[in-house]
This record gives sequence, C-alpha cells and structure tokens, in this order.
Amino acid sequence: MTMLSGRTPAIVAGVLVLVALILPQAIYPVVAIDLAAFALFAVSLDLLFGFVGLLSFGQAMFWGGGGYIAAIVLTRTHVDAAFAILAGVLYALILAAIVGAIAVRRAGIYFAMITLGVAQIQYFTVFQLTDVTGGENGLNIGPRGTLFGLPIQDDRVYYYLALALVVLTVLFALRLVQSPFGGVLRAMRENEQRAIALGYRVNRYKLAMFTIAGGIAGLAGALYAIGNHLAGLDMVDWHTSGAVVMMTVLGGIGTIFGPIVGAALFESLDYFVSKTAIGEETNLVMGSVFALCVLLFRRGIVGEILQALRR
Amino acid sequence: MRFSRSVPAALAVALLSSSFSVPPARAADSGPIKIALITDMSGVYAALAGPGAVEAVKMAVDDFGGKVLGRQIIVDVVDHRNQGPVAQAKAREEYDSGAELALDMTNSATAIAVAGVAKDKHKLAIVTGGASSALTGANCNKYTYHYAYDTYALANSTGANITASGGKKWYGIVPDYAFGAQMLTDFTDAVQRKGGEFVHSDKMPLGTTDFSSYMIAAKNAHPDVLGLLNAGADTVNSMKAAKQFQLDKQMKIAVGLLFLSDVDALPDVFAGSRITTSWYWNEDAAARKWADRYAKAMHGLRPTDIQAADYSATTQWLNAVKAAGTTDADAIVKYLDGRQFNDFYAHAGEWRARDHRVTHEMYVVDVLSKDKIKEPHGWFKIVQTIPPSRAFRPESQSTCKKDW
Repeated sequence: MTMLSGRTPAIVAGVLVLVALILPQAIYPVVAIDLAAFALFAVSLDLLFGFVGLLSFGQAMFWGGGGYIAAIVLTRTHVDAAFAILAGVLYALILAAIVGAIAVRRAGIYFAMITLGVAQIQYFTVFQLTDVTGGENGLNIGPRGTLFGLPIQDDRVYYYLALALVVLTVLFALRLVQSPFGGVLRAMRENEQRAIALGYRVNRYKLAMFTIAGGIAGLAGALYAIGNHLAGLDMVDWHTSGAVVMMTVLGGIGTIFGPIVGAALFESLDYFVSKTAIGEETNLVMGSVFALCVLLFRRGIVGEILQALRR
Repeated sequence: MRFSRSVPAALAVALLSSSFSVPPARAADSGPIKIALITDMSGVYAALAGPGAVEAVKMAVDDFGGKVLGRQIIVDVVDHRNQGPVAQAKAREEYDSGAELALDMTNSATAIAVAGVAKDKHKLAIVTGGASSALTGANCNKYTYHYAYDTYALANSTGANITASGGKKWYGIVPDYAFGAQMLTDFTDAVQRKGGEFVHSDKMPLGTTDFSSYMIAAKNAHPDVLGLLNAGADTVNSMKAAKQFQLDKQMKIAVGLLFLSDVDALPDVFAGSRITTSWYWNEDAAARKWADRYAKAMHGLRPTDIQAADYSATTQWLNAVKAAGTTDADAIVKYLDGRQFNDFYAHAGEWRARDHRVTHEMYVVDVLSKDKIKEPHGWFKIVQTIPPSRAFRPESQSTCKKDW
C-alpha cells in the first residue's frame, strides 16, 4: 500500500490534526466530540473492509457495546472514566473475538450477514434488559467525573483528551497496516489461495484483525457515550452499522485518513442539514450527496486526492 | 513497507503548535431570547404537532410583539426523530447555546429525556405533546411542567366511562415505548376502579404499519373492548386494520388518544368514536377566533389541541418572563407555581405547585360522520366538559416525590 507512505499522507494528517484542534472553538464542542468518535469508528471499519476485504455489517455492536459498558461502569461505580473506557474496550475485544471466530470462516455476503445477525441479537438484548440499560430511554451518564485524574465536565477539556486517544489509536492503526502483519493481510486480500499456499493461516490473521477493529470501535463508542452523557439504542442499531460503512466508502477505503474525512463530512453534513432542512429532506440531501460522491469519486474523497497527487 | 517517519512528526508538530484557548462564555442577558421547539417534524406525530406547532409558536411570539424585556425572541426548531437520545442531545445543545425554554416534546420518550436535561441544566421545559403521566409522577422535577393532557386524564375519562357502561374485558394494542407503557398502566388502573380488567395487551414498535396479526389475535380473544392505546399515525393504522377485520362488529373500540389530524386522515373510520381531548378549535368564540387565524396561515387546516397548547404555553411563559423581569428558571417557577390563568386554550387553568401538572378543563367529544359536519374539519361535538379537579390526578394522590 504505497498510499500511506511518502509526504502526501503526512500533509493530510497535519491538516486533519490542525482542523481537529480548532474544531471545538468553531462548532458546538459536543458535536466535535461526535466527529472525533465517529472518525475513529470509521477507521475501525476501514481496517476490516479496506485492508482485509471483510465488509462487516454489524460494526455498531462493538461501538454500541463499548458505549453501553462504559456507561454502565461509569454510572454504577463513579470510577475514573479511564476505567470505564477500558471496560468498554475489553468488552468489545472479547465480543469481537467470539463473533470473529464464527464470522471469519465465511466471506462476502455471508460474513456480512453473520455480523448483522449477532449485532441484532445484541440490540434486542440491550432493548429488553431495561434494568441494566434503560431500554429505549437509553442509559444516562450524569456528571462525567474525571479522565486520567483530570476533570472532564467541561466539553472542551473532554474533547481534547478524547482527541488525544483518537490520534494515538489512529497512529496505532497506521503502524499496524504498515507492519509485516499488515503485509500478510494485504497478500491475503489480493490472493487468498496463494497466501494459504505460502503457509499462512489466513483465518487467524482475519480473526486478529477483526478483534483489533472491534476493540477500536469499542473505544470510539465509549468516548462517544461519555461525551454525550448517554448510551442510547441508536448506538447498537443496524442503521449505525450502515452509516459507518457509508462514511468509510465516502472517504475512501483502505486509506485510514479517508474514513476520518468521510466520518467528519457525513456527521457534520447530517448535523447542519438537520438544522436547516427538516426531517425527511435531511435524508434526501444526504442520499443525493452520497450518490454523487460514489459516482464522482470512485476511490472516495481522500482516495481520489491521493491518486491525483501521485500522478 | 517502511512506515513514513514524517507522519508522526507532522502530527506532533501540529499538536504542539496549537493553543488550547477557550473563548469566553457568552453573556447571559443580552442578545436574543431563544425558545427551543423540540418536536416530531417528519414521523408518526408530525401531523398533530410538527410544522403546525412551529406555526403556532411563531404566531405566539409575533402576537407578543416579538420582544420581551427589550430582547428579541427567536424560535429554534428541533426535529427529535422520535428518539429519546436524539432529543436529549439536542436539548443539551439548545440549553448550552442559550435556549431558555424547551417546548412541545411530542413523544413521551423525548419528553422524559428533555425533562432530565432541564433538571440538570436548571432551565425550563414545558411539555405539551408528550402524554406520559410519569412526567408529573416518577419523573417529575422542579423545571418541567406538563401542560396539555396526560395518560391519567385520558384513562380516567375514556377508560372509566366505557368500563362503567359495560365494557369489562379489555384487550390492549400498545406501542412499545414510554408512552404506551404509561398509557397501559393508567388505563389498567382506571378500568379496574370500575370493576373491569385487561385480559391481554400486545406491544408493538412505534410506527408499525401492519396490524393484521394483532387484530386476528384480538378477535380470537373475544374481549368486550379493544383499547387502542396509541397515538397519531399508529392510531390511524390500527383503527383501519380493526375495521378491515370487522372487529367493530364484535366489540367496542376505545380510542385512547385521538387528534383532529387523525380524523382528517381517515374521517370514515373514526366516525362514532367517543374520545377525550384537551381543546377543540370550535369550542367557543375565543378558540374559533384563534383557529381562524391559524387556518389562514396553514392553508385552511384547523389546529389540533397540541398546536393550540403550544401557542398558549408560549404566551403564558412570555407573560411570566415579563412579570418576573428575568428568564431565570428558578424565578419563573416561583412566579408560576400555584398561579391561576385563563386563555383561549386553558379554561380554569392552574400551574399546580405540588407536581407541576398544569390543570384545566378537559372535554369528552363525539366524532361526527361526514354527513353530519357543518364545515370542513368540524369533526368533534363536545358532549361533556370535565372540570380540572376531576380531569387530572388529584393532588392528594400525586406520586411525585417533590424534592425541590
């Protein structure tokens, strides 16, 4: 993947971080938190879809699961938010390992259906366990308390801490796809039979990536839930799994930075359109924009930019 | 594949080169006064609140002169998409960006969510559209008033009357969220008080369009009464199905909550129903006068009771702001608690201090058939006026833990 080396991605990364740093001064800070969380969520899907070729249609189970677990820990124990986030990530990792063990044996639409099915099981579990999850009212997190010992009740302070975690995780993801491990995954994506012939146990590689992506989605979800003081049913809903696929495709799969841009665009578009146009028209605008992007930018927005710069 | 060193370098430089400056908070008492109208603009409840509610609130602001305490009044419209979490996030944002009042909250889940935010932020919320009586019970708080009607009042009137006239065995059709659950609880209590019972109730997702399987099940249970404990498009669709499967030939159909907009959608289907409403546009001269102005702006449509309640609540709140000389919620609550008032919407109105239920007259109406109506949208005929003391939960039985 020559896309991620050289000077261009560094410039893209610099621009992204600069934008991220001035974001909460420009828009309502909670929306900035949403953008950062969704960006990381989209990266987790890109690791699977862009680098292994596995299209998960249930990625929201890790995002929502991580969010709910973080919310449950935070409301019941009032520990430092770091522990709540860690609990959310651990839950997502374990769930991903279990689901992955079943799902990676299959590919394509069958893989997508298994992930969707398990995600729906989790959705209805969350919906029914009213005492634990608050059912359809969602689970309210009161005051946020502290993160790494720092008070995070102020939205901006929380945003910068969450952003630091997001940036570190994105760096980890970049490192991962450039590692020998990432190389094997790419080889598998290009020609699975050959990778098997070379002696690689492809399912183990897929499972490893599925688990890591699940954990990253769980981290993103935990950050999102704490940022919004709420873990709601929409977090575990299949619509969210679909939305993150859209964000990733919009930005450009297999680019890491693409999904970040895609998520930021998708979420901010949704936010500003819903403030101006009303309800149904929001979907109309979003749909049109998405259709246009798919038609005009076959590689996604960032994918096209990287391609153009390479020529 | 070497990982490019310049990426982390660029990130580090960008991180270090920025300053964590926080702009000063906005001054609280200059600039415009914002009202956040949180409603369903596109879903199952859009017809009974939605765009009509926006029109009503804007009318109220204009009639007030567009200014209070020398500051301009602006209305922010928020579509809550019938999701509690969305309503909660948006309410937080609205209050944070200077909204002094959250209004409407049609859909109990969103109403309860916004009430929680109002309590956190010490800002005012007035619920007109949300119906759950939990708003003045388990979820009551200092900063939330419940204005138009509630599940207790509907059950106490419609439920009790039908049971008293012989409908002992009830079968419930209930939407599976906060409003449905509370509706079922309150109807069960009211029916039991009159010696009846619910033999079964089916819960279904909000916005269900195919009710056939539920209707067949209800038919086979042979109850005396089929209770449609839903609202808006759900009521319209379930009633349509009940008629298709001819349940009305076998049993009484009780409509728990019906709006003028529902009858507009399906006049033939609702003709002959007896329901309870908090207001009717043709109840008297004052109501009619306002409804005429509303119709001019809304292409001849007549307002529902929610839309009228939105106008009334906006006006009452603006009067309170003017009288108290501030938008501070604590001062407004102090001013409103126990205050009695009358306007075209609320007759014998009172802001009850005990649990923040706003009480006023309620009406039992019959829905007329097409051949009986004297003018377009004139669907209702008032058969009984219920005084506030009998319409709503008595103060002595309030379940609100008043912690303020």
